Amino acid sequence: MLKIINFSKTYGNNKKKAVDNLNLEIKKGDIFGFIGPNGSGKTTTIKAIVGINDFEEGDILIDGLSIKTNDIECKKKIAYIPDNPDIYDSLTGIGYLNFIADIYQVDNKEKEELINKYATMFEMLPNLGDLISTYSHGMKQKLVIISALIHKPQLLVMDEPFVGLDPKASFALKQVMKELCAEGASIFLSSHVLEVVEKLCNRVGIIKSGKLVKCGTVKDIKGEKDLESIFMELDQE
Amino acid sequence: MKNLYLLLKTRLLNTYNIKKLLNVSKKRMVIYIAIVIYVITTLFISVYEMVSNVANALNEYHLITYMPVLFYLLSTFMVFMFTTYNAKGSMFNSKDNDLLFSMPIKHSDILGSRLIYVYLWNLMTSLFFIAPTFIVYAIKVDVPFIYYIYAFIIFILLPIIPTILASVIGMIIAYLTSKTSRKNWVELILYFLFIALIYYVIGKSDVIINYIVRNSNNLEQTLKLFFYPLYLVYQIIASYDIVSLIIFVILNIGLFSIFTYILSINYKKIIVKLQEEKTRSNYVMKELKSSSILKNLYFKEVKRYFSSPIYVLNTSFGLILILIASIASVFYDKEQILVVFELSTNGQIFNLLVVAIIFIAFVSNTTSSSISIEGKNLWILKTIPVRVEQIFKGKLLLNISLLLPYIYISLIVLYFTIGLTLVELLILSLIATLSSFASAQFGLLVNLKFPKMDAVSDVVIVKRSASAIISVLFPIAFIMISVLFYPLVDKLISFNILLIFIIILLSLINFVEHYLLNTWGIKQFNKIV
Repeated sequence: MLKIINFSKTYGNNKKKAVDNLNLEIKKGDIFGFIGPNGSGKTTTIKAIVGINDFEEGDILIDGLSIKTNDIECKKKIAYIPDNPDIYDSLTGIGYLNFIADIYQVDNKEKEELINKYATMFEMLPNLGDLISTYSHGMKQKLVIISALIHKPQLLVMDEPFVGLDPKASFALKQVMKELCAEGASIFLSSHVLEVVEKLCNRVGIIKSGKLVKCGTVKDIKGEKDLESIFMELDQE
Repeated sequence: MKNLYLLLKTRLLNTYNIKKLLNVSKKRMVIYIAIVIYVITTLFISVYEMVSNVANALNEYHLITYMPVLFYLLSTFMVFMFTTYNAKGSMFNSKDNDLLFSMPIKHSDILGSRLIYVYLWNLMTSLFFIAPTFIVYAIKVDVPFIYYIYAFIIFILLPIIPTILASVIGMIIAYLTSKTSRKNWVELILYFLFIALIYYVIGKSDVIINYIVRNSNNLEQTLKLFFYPLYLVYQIIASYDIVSLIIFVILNIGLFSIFTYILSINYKKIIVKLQEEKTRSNYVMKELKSSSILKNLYFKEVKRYFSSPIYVLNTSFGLILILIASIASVFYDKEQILVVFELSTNGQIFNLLVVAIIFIAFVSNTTSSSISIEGKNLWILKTIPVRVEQIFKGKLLLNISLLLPYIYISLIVLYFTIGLTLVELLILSLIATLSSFASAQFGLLVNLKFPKMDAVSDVVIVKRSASAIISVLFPIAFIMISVLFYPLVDKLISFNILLIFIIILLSLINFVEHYLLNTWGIKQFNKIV
């Protein structure tokens, strides 16, 4: 579903690469945890996958299509949940969801069904008529999650999705993630909460200073230890 | 004091991206400096020309000593109007409120840094009017050296009183809007009512002045009654009166200190009150309407535009002008219009309208802020499966849909009231259409070149960002120069040929802008992070 081939990214005139020759493959049904210290290149990689950042070296394929040359087709298959839920304050919650659904050309009936389903699941339905400017951080995060789900993405890219969510919403999100993967979608997840990654993901990649230092199934990587110990060991190397 | 300095420094560096500017290549720096010099010089020359004409007229009646007072009043008025628009955004609705109030900083330091920031901005605004005034005065009147020192002090203190007055109005408007659930609309209506009041007062100024003159012994007494600082300025400039200067300094600094002190006591309370939002939280799922991608993008732009009163006010200046002009044309007959604008023939009304329409199209530019205004929401546009051209179309459409219907209706009104011919109406409509498209595309190109994605408030984007300033001042400077050189061209070619040239030029500009947007513009959009 997602194939990253020799991807490198340099910002401005910096000599050091933010991401250096990254190679990854995520198959349908995978929940892939992408972890690494601050400034290691996680968000740079994510922003390239979803089409925010341009890049010169390497390629990123979504279901076989390059994001460089077929960005629109690729974006139709992706949903992105950023680390900060910055969305249009001037719209109401329902206005924003309707906007996103129409942009992704979701059928009207399906749109209503999915909004109803996910807004109820995340306990946001009564608030959808209010302006987003009145929402708390957590409510905005929930709205971003709902908007990411209403067009049935094949690849869900999430950057720290649990930040700001209450325990109930976190639980609901984990359920949805499992549900999506069971239906054949893939999830690319970046998080600093290693326990969540350990429990939720079937595969994991550890990035350090722009380079992928470990990649494989959670079981293979952690062995007898926990993910936190592995992470700390790699960080000190 | 240290915190005040730090806050002010950070705000200035953040607003103008000074550090980034210093790091650009030499070639770019030369281009930037050339643009700034071009814009400043053209504006300065235009104002200088205007001031000289007024000075000559006043000199004929031996009233030249009142010239600085006149332009002091004009500058004060300009600063007052500018600040009223943006006081709320600059001083109360800043995005860094939460951050700053959580830090161990005195509220008076936060307020002080914001007031000084507004003051510095106003100082730059008044410089364009007051500097040519003092220069022209020094040329026309034999002044001693002390004049220059006094003039400098007046210039430094000029923005204080209008800044305070405008802040008070901004505060009242902010307070009134905080009590409603439809804040933006109420704020917009209040601002428009305020502007209408100002225009009404200006319209009635002859009655007010006559009343004051009737009730005072002479012109100096009139100044004293009308606005005391004016009288002081007159005394300082005309008589080099040191006592008036001292009173003027004490008055300004005293008012500034008192205002800052009183406001700082309730500053946090006012800000907290403004942040309160009313919610209903009673939504039930209803049938949702679907629309096309472009329509969706367009309505997103419309909602963003009307959610920001400062954005609306800043871009509706031209629309207000043409509205006033077309309404006024209903009440005045053609002969009166000719007299007011010092025109000799009907054809000159048409010529004036050509310039006015191009001017209005370029000052009513929404696109010059439309990328910057996305701010941290830009990720949404970058990740949705929509071509960048479509995103641009949504932004251009907002600009054009706000402008063109207004101009067309006004032209139709003018067609009936001042008796334009059908051909003239069609030509003006064509020029309006071409100018609107050219202005919208120009604004978008400039904003793509100078995006400001980390602004602390909408005011910074729509009033003070490089993009907003360049996209309005550059064409205005171009129009002003064209008007100044028109008498020379007029001797060589007829206006009809010039008209054809204008239409061809606007068409060419549109074509080039369209090409640039779809090539360089798309690449530039993709680069913005």
